[in-house]
Amino acid sequence: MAQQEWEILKETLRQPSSPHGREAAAKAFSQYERTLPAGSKPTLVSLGLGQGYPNAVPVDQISEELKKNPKFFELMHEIVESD
Amino acid sequence: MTSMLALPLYDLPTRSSSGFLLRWIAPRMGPVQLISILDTSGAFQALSVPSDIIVATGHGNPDILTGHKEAVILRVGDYDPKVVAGKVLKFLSCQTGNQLGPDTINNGALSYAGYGADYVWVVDADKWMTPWSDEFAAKSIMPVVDSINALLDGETAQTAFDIEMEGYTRNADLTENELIRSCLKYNRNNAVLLGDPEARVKPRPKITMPLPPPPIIVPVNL
Repeated sequence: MAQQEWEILKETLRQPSSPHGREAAAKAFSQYERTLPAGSKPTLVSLGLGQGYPNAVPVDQISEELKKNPKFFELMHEIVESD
Repeated sequence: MTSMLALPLYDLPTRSSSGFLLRWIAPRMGPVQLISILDTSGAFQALSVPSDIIVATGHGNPDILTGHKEAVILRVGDYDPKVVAGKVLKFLSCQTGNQLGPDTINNGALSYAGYGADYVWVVDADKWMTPWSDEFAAKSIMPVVDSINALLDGETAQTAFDIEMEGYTRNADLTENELIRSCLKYNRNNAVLLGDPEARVKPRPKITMPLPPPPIIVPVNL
């Protein structure tokens, strides 16, 4: 869908989870998100319990969560690295 | 022979996972179905004993599977082995493959299928009233549905597991959405099958689909 933006996101998520690194990942996710089709409310969900991040994060709020939450940054790193 | 199907329905992830199982699995499993507020520890542990298969979804961590409102329904070291002994288990939950899954095998479960990491997927929150019609979520949850249906057809745990893995791979190859594709691969990479790969249950009658969709219980606090 947006290979270039996706690859940039992957690269930022490979950086250490510092405030600067999370800020860069959040910015990269925002740019990727702009390439997604509009018209629904996509939300990333999980069945985790007490993991330190919300179980449901609307895709348009992932960049905010990436910025403030190191544990969510780590989860996104693992998910994106699977690709 | 009875079956145990545990389906919490209180937040977006549980409504999505339970919604698909309610739509595609519940008609083949019975008579014990713990839906929504019925999905509690006492009911689960008491009513699982006569079942030959347990299918449960809910929030979890390495040693806990929960039901309605995160009520613990199964915790490592805190259940009667009769709850799981001699049964085929499928837990659609996070991380139970690390401790709870092995513990059920140690307590006599024939097989356990679940996940060693978080189970993640993308849902369309606009479909929360009819989660089984969510095309985003279907890419991840339908392979699980196909796997459970294979178990109910009398296929082995290994065959059912392979069907789920192939489903993730197929859907990952077809989707153009990178985030959804990554979630599919993540779930596939972290899926766990333990115990006897040849374990199977007595086949259940096939249901001619499509059935009318089930009613969804609307929680007052969602």
